[in-house]
Amino acid sequence: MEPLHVALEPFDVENWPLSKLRDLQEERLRIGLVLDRAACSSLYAGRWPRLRARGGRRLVQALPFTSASDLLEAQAGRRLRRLAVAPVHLWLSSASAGERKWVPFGAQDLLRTMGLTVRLSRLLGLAPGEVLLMVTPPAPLFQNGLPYFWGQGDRWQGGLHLEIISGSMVMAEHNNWPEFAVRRQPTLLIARPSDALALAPRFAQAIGAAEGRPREAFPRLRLGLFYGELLDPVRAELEEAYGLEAFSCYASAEYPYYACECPAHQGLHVWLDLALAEVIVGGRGRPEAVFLDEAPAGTEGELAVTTFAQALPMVRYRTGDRVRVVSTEPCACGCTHPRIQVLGRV
Amino acid sequence: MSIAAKAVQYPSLAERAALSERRLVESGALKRAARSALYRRAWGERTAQFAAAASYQELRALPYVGGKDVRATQLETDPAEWACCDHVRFWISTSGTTGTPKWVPISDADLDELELRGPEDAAVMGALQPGLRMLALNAPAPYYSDLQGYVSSVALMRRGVEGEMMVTSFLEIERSLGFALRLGADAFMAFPSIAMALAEGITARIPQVVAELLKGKRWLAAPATFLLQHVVRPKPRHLTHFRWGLFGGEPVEPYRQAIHQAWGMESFEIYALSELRLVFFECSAHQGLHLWLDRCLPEVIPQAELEKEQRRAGYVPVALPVWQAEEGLTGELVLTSYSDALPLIRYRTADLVQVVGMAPCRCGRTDPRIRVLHRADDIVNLGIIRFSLVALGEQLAKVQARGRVADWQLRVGRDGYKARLSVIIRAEGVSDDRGLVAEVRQALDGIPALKEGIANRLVAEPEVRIDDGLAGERTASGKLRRLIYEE
Repeated sequence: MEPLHVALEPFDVENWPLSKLRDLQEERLRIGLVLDRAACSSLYAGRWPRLRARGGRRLVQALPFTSASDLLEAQAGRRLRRLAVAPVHLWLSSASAGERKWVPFGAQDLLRTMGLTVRLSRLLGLAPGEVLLMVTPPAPLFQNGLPYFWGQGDRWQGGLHLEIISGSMVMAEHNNWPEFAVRRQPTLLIARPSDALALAPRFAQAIGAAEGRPREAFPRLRLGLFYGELLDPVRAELEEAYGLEAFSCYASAEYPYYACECPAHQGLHVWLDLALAEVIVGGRGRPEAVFLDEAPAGTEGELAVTTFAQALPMVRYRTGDRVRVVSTEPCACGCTHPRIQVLGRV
Repeated sequence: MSIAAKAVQYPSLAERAALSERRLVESGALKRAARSALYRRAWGERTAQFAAAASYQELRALPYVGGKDVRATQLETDPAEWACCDHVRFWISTSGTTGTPKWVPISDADLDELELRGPEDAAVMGALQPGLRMLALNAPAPYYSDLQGYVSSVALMRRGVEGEMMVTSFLEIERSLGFALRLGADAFMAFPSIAMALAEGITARIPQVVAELLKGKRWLAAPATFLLQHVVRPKPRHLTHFRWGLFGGEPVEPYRQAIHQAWGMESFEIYALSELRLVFFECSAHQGLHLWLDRCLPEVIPQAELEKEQRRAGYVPVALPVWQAEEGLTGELVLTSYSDALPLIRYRTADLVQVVGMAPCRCGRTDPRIRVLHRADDIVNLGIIRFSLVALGEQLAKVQARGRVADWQLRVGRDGYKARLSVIIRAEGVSDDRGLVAEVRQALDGIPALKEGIANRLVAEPEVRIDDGLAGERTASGKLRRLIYEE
């Protein structure tokens, strides 16, 4: 049996100039037949004009936006069986309130997710042998798979021999994982900001202190990667409580490509090799959008993404999140992928 | 479903037993084990000698280890000393029903074994066919089942087999079930008691379920709901496509018929331990769990030996390899496994099993088969609901207002398929019989797991009875047997 060929994107793709990244997007859209494949999904059927050519970036902007309610509608009844356009291996769901939005993942999607974690390890500057503590929500929320995907990404591509402990909020009071984490001394914490704050007294309890800060329990902890909520309002509090450098990341089941801060902390890098990103800048009636990589710094609007996913490409999917373009210039870290700041829900 | 692979010529039991012994040496499990603080603690000065054991005869000289040893080691030593491999990839936890949860390392080699052999082992059921859609219920991290769905998914992917996994947790099961039904899921992996509690819940809430299934067809939803609710009185089987159920965590037998009636599923029992990177499955002949002799060396401590151990302090019970056991023998399962990060060496599982048979199974396989009966220790296993008799004793000792519990016995029986507990007490200083019974019943709610289980319909309402002549079954040493299984 073959080993897993984890989809690590082209070497050094983080540092490619924007023009080269746009060419890569064009190539992925046209050669990967993203729009042609997507047109076969019940998510888009009947809503799109007939495609006359293998679509590139400009054709994408001629297509209508897709919303969360479109996805929910496509999940209903018989249309669900025609939602995916490639064999599905795993279904995961969004973490948003209300009805769950389920997203299919094909083999390439899973491998790409694993590959992305290798990039995140590199971005965060992880060293060999680091111990990761991940506090994840229960399945089927897509972040539930993060420990496994990160472990597999490192196993097949990263080569850092990362060690992973995962725990959940629901088990924090019924299991001794906080005590075990203290004993094993993680160096990177991955959690939702609110969960990390809520766990502070539990970690204090784990070292037998009635009161105390988690930094006393975790002297080796140096990094924190926070997902699922805005980090900025509690960044200083978390850094002080845990004694770590906090990084923000952003993803969803529909867009599982973890845009992430680098050590320069000048916004979240949006990975242009994995998806097109647009910012919807307004316009009454018919919303107008500009490609993220062409947007002036300071542009604000709703983020829309077109992913190159195998099982279900999301095309012009409105994330419902409001963002500000920080910069499309190369970052101090050397990474060329544009940076955004997430402002909150639209 | 057909019995699989009749044409395959399986090696004889003797050949499989020889393979098990050979693998003990070839896998290097004993040498690796010597790296772990667990075995260094258990083996002491003879660690080097034990690590060089090269046959079953030599293995028999090794002391047993059990949950208590793991727990003691983990209390006394640093986690870096627990594993036998160079790099731990994941740490997972046991459920902790016998005390503090134990932590188990998993290495890349263990993942490889799970991914390479998992689908092959599961194929014994004949149910995991290409295109399968499975809803898998797990427990949130840090339990292994939180990873299990992903491991299975990647295992199928690595083999190039199409198969869809919907992984969900027991917190999300009701929301996920509607989606799985719409997708046409044909397999369901869960605890059997949870499957039946779900069936009861669905039957009671047919209108909502139908509305979910007929979403977008409002013209049909109202009349269909009326018909189903008042005329047809459907069971979940009328709404679902599940054909196969993979059930573990508790014996399937009491639920098998009820599951078939409610869901229309063929039930397959699976047996796994968090400490063991290996799953035993029933085949479609449903004649016990197949013990893979190429992956482990199973032994059984006969019931008579267990009783001697109870009677005589310090007595070390004698085990025999399962392949030498007689059909029908009951005893505690002891496993030696060959996993990478932490092999189990003569690990007492605390599970009481019955040897089903040594003759080749109807499916053609020759590995021995067992049936798991219940716990051999003082843990009451009701599937996801587990608690210790110590916890029960502590609660009963608190009863004081209308009398005192002088002695007690717990009987585990069935109310239909559902586990039902009977607490029989001998009371002293009783001022009000009925009040005392009510107080004892209330005391049971002091065991959180049991309270949850009753509230969620996983177990039946317990019965409390006063019996001043309480003289139930006794142990060989004459003590009242605290726990009686009536099934």
